[in-house]
Amino acid sequence: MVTSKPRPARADVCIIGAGASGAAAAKALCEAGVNVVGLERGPWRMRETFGGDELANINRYNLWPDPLLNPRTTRSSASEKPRVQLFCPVPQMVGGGTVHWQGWLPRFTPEDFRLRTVAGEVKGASLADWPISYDELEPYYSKIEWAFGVSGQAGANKFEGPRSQGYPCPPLPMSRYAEKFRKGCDSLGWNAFPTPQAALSRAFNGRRPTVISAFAQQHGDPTGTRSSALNVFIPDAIKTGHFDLRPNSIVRELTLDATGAVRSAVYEDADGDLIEQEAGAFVLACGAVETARLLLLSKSGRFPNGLANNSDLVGRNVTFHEYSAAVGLFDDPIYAWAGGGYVSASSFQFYNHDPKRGFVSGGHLACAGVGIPLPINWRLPDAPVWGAAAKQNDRDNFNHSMAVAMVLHDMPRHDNRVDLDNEVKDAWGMPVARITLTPHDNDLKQGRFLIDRAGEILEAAGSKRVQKVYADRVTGNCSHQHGTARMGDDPATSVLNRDCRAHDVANLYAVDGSPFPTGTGANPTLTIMANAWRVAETIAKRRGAHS
Amino acid sequence: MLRALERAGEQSASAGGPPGEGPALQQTFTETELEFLPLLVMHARQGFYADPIYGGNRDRAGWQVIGFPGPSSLMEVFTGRFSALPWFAEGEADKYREANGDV
Repeated sequence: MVTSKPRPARADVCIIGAGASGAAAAKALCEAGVNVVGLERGPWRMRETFGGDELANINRYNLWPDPLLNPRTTRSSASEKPRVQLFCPVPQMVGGGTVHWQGWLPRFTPEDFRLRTVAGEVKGASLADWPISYDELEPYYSKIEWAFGVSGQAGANKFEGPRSQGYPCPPLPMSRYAEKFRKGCDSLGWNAFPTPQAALSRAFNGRRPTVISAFAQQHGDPTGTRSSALNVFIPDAIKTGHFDLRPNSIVRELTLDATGAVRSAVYEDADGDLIEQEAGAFVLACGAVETARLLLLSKSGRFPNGLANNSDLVGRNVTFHEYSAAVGLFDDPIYAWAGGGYVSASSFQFYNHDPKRGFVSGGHLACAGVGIPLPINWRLPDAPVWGAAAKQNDRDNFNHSMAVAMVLHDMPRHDNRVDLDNEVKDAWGMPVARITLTPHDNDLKQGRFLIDRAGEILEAAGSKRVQKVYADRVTGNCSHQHGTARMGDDPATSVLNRDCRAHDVANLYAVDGSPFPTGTGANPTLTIMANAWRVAETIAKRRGAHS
Repeated sequence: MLRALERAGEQSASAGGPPGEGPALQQTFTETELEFLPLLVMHARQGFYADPIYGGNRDRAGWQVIGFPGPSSLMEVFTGRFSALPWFAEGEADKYREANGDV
């Protein structure tokens, strides 16, 4: 079954997945002199292959996973028949989600790490404190902001925790939609700040400033100037000479040695041959859905229910956030496509928990274009979609509309989970991830509250017409995913320890969103990368123990 | 058929297609999920509003009617010469140019 191709040399560390977390871990490990093999299921695309147009990027699956090759299934309860759906997709390629994002990179607040203590028990939810604090992660936030290249204004978010350093670059220029958002917040007396972004407003670290285009969100970056894992951390890791990155390498399972540690990752290469890669330690960085799936696919005598799953918690407590928005029309033009609709302003005014509100926690509010605010895909909620009325709507409102969006902090629940589908397989013959998800009442209440506040911002900014779109379920539209291998101090209630190492397996780590006990109400990638860097340092220090 | 439907006033959001339907920030959709009429509408939009390199949107007529000053060619986007800064808030493009030169 394993081919006659020569068995590759044993690595110090094998990282599976080369997106935000895998690339951050690879950089930190390789720069510490550790020899790393990276296995990435998707291609390694060069910037020259990213065209700049909407049709190719948004409408032709240029970057999203192909739903026919890589399906997922969803259902709202265990008694329901799952249906195939492109749920919570993330580009599967070197760079992962950072290839097509515009990267809103706020820090989590200190409260995010101890919400169970702050808010108490929530019935029907499995709320848990993190085993680490904001203060422990803070140095790594700074490391990422400076190494990755983030533009923002330190101190502008008054709900942010203490920081050891400012941002390396000042905020990006102010878009007209950000200007409206700030005007609205100012007149309501709410704090607003320039959204910290994965982009350079100035030349920095040998890189030129980020090109501010319209073809940005969900478009690959043909200029190579955005801050992405593909543009920054992957090249950093390669430069060390310690990183052997192998794209088009689909890991099928992790095997164990006689001591119960992971011995190897068995992967299918581009020729369809099976290769076995041994390493001293293994780091899962596949995204919370695929990390859980790979653990569950790796069954053995020791772990009949999937690797590191003695607790039966692998895949459980999954959270996805949800984007929804209030949409406003203005008389004056806003050009919400400028900067791709995501050179934004934010507010954490309703982010932290306030028991007076009658629900737990809150979320990040920020402005954006409506949907993908480009000619083909822009559309207002409930607007006519064809005929003369649709054309008139395009003419009248394309340049005059914007959204104020929320990032919903959905509650973790024991029965909300990722497991393996019984019937549907991917193009490589492996069972796909099946997502079982019922929103908690708290999600719906919090969502209504946040969307109402979003509407008030638009009204205060002078919008002539505001439409509120409430989230009535979690659709996976954020591409954010967390919680499927929670970290914690107690092996009975968590999969990983505080170092994101499996309680059950001495040399197995996860560094994507899967360790997050709660999803929080903010975009997760900055924290994912900061945590990956923290874990990578631990692995580098323990190197002797793994070999 | 479309004219007849239009006269009959059978406009509904369910005939949609582009993201924007449902959650206001829907970021993904798959054409494979669309039925005939929504797919037809979607492809009509693509023909009218996609980059002229595909043969529709001739002389950028689609972009002009909605006021989208798209790039004069895809090469402008590819090389980074196409910039949306002039459509940012008043004075921002100048400030940026002062700080960074012509990027």
